[in-house]
Amino acid sequence: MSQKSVKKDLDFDYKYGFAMPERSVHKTRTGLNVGIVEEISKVKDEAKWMHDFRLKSLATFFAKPLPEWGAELGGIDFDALTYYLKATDKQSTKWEDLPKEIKDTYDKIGVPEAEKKFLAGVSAQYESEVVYESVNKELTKLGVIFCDMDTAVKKYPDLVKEYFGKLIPPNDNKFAALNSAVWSGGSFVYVPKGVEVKLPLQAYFRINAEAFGQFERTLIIAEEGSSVHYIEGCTAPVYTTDSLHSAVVEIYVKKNARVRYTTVQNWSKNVYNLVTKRARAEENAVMEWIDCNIGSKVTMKYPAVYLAGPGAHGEVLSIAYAGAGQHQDAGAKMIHLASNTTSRVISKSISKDGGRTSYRGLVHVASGAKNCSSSVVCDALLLDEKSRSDTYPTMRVNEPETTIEHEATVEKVGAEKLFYLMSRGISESDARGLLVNGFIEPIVKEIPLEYSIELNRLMNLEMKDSIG
Amino acid sequence: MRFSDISQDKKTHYSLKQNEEACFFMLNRTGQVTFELNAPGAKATILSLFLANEDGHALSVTQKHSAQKTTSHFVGKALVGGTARFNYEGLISIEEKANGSDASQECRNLILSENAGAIAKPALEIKTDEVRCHHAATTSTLSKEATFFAESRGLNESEARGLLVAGFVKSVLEKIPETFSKERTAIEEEVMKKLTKLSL
Repeated sequence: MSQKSVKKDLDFDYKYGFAMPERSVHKTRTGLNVGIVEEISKVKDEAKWMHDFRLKSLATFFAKPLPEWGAELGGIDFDALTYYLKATDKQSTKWEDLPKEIKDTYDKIGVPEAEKKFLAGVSAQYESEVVYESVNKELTKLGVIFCDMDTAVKKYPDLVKEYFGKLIPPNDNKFAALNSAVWSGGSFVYVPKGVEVKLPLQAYFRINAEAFGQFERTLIIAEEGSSVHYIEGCTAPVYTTDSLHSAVVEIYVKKNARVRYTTVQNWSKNVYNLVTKRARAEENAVMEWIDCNIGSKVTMKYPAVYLAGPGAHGEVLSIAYAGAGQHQDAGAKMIHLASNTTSRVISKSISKDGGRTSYRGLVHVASGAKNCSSSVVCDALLLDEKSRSDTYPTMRVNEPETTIEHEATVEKVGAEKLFYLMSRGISESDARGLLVNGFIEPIVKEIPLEYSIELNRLMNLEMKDSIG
Repeated sequence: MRFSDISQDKKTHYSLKQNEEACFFMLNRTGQVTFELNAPGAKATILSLFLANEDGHALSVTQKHSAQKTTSHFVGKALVGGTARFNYEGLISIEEKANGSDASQECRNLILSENAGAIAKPALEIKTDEVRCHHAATTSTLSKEATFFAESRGLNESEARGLLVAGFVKSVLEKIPETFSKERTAIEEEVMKKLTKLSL
């Protein structure tokens, strides 16, 4: 495929896609049935294989029960949801129409004006397009493909077909099946052999508001010796009335390649966030998940790395914060399938005002995978007596030559530390903010600067609100 | 302070009186065992050793704290050799009222053969903030460096492995309080007898 044609293909959706009136605003009826899925596929004008894939997934979704473990999911009414909403519909939102609480938060954490508008979904298309164009010019030169998933299915069917739904098949779990049936939006990233993408790819460089869709589908392929950093989401609350977000993210990290995937999730507090994320790391590849969960009502998310090639390394660094009415059930899965593979998980969780955080993790060492090592460290901070913290790790080892370590501690904000800071003239809420930020610091430092500053401010803000 | 060897017990629930201190020991015990810390100031030390050469075994230990200022420490070590599989599930549950509790759980599995396997699931459920709570779990095989060192001192391979394994189990037995040294000696003899049957 020539670089010129890649460029032209990428332009397609943005230049013309939105202009077609029958595609610009489209919303399905509430509820889920074969008709709705057919409708989504028709609106997207999809090839038969994708159409069939969706219908098969729908049948799987109906057949599978809700998970019996983990967070309480009884509150989801699948019939009351809208499964497909064309993005441009959302963009008619006006800044003034946003709830005051969200506007205040934007102001408090100091999101720049332009970004504010974008995050609220009210940004003028033209401005974002300019940013996207310039970033894309650089990428195209390198042969990197970075576009939304819908475009990828149309323009690179062979590439997509080879990988799509292979790592997370629809029958993996109920929500993966749901996503497979009604998915829309998400990103497609293809990095050719030996290419190092220096700039982090951010979903919001793409003008497509579908980046924040309910059922987004992301596929990243890093060919041999390449490296890429992908950033999803933003630290400001995404305003949405939808109550279910269920994404699927599949990542292929080939020999000697390196992929880092950073998520800063701050959905509004009425959202069920049920996400399946999985990466496959080949020989000497490195896969890193950096996962920050601050928003949502319920999150169930366990980024996984299948260490399939010898010498592969997997890493999950996560922060979970649960305030009143929130349950963050997050964790990590490390599946050691080959020899000399290593993994590391660091999880930091904070519970406040009756919130509940749970770490749920799995480390599996297959028989014959020699000389593997894994280390899991979970630290939980409880800020008051109403809150709750759980740790549910599983270590399954079928091979003697391994070293598997797991460690967890639960503590409260130390009274002595608070007292010391306050004796230096710092107010109680500031002191708490300082201590909490210190607690999450080892992970925050792995996040790009602009995000970590926002995250720190957000944490301070959450602490302040608690004092009143 | 009281000491009970509950290896052969049929009872599955144990509770302590106010401010009582107790040490429980289990050798090759399976099934579900619950320790209720429902009287203020109660302190429990729970020790478990598991030596297996074949078959699948499962042990599940719950440390339930429902009263203030209660303490429980669990140390469980398992030697899994031959074709054996060992499944350990632990739970520390600290209820809302159990302020000032201190609980820990330590689980060490040593896998001695290609065909052996172990699963460890140490869980924590903490519902109040005035606590100290910690757990750790490791699964590994005998360290190559340690066996090499012992061999360089003139021991043959099986002697070296035997020595390291004995050290592994003794570290649990040493936690039985000194006042019960008679019981400890008896238990140690029994453990060593079992150890000789284990194929290293």
